[in-house]
Amino acid sequence: MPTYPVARDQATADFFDAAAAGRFLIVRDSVTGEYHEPQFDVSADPKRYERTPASGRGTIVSWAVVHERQADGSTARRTVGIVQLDEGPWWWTEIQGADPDADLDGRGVVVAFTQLGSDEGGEVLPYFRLEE
Amino acid sequence: MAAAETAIAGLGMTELGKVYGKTAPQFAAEAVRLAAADAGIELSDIDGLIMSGGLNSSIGLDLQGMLGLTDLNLLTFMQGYGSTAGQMIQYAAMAIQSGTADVVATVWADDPLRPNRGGGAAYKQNASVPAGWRGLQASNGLYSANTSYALAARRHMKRFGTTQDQLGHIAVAQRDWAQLNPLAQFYGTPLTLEEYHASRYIAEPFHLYDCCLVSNGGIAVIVTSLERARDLTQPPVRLLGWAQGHPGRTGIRNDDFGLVTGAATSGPRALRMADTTLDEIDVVEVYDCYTYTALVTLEDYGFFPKGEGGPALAEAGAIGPNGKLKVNTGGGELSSYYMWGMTPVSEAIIQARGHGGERQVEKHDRVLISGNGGILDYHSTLVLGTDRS
Repeated sequence: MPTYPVARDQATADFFDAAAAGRFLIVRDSVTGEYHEPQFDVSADPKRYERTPASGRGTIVSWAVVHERQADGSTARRTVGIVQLDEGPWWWTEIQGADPDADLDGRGVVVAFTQLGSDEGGEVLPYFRLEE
Repeated sequence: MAAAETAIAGLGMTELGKVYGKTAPQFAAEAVRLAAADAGIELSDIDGLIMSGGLNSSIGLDLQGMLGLTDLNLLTFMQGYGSTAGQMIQYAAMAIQSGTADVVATVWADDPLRPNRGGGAAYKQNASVPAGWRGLQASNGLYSANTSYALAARRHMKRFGTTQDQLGHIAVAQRDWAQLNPLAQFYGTPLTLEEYHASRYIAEPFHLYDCCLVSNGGIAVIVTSLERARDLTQPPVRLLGWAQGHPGRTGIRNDDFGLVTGAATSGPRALRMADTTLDEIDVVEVYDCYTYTALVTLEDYGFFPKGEGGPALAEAGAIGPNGKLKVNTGGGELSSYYMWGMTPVSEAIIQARGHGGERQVEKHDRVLISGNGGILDYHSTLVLGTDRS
């Protein structure tokens, strides 16, 4: 699960607004019908590129297990990965609920959200968890 | 009229590694002074200066003033991350060919290490006010290049069957080379495959010894015309070919992430420019921020068919000081020093000059160099040659 609050900036304002409502926004090209990653700059052509909610589902393209040192000197293993959203774009994210020793290639994941920090300063942050 | 041939005439290297008490600009200035002395020129002979530094270094255009250089014809700071060193030398050569400048110093320096603080803290992002897309990724655990490259390596392993053991062979072979390099931070500290496997994980599949060192210091390279270089102190090292390859959108929606890099376009183009084939390359100095990076670059350059680099490099007698392929002969970034792209560049110049001492490769007429930056986002290639070839 995300570990610390993140502040919005102008590029992420719409994304975080949607996340607060439980939606994971990606970008749709209204000309080609192709979907782009959330970071895609819609200001390039606001009439052509529109933000739209993704299904929130995807599959794991690759994964790594980060070894994080804790305050007590122990090490925690944290699984992160690249997810290919069902709509096509990739998203780099933490993957909750995964056995760090398992082969996660191609496994299904679904988006989840958590709020960190105060209501005023902390955005609702997406992460992914392994599908049951 | 054909463009004038260019050459590397000077190499300046400060003390590298756990060296404290100097800022990155001071390391940079020292490296330029050392490079000028190495070339046998006065500082005032330099009329072009191209500089770069690490993520948090304070190197800037005032380096000109620190060096007392006046009336420069070329002055800039540039950033291509790990591809920077190769790029700086390319732009220097093009400036000389165009007549923009005659003698160009290129320099890179960094000072990420602090006394009594581990190397792991050196490149940590400031986590106090994370914001935007980067903040979101960092909060999700993706705050380190180690992790991003681990994702790339895992993909290569899954797709092609590359194994941890094969990555370990690269680490061990480069450590063997470092035992012949007194400049190496791991000089005097050999590594066995067992020790590699026993080292702690940083981000699985990467062990500690899959990851490069962290170093303070600076390295400068002086580029001029071949004609002028022939009148100077050192054996000229000719700049025969160069290229860059920046895939774009890497890791956002790119089926090749982790499998193929910008090296695949940059390498062949640089070789073509040098009118050189792979089998004519005597020495290879590849950017090895991770064991995996060396592997994927060697594949992309064509030394091995795609996906077959792992087993090929792990074969007995493949790499290392007695190996068939002379790669990362100083120990690389894994075992010598981490001056970003200046690590492979400096060792390539040493080898091309025939100044490698105990580790000198006997035949060294053609040297191939890679620089890789970002998360496999940016790539530069150089092909060097001796003046006799």
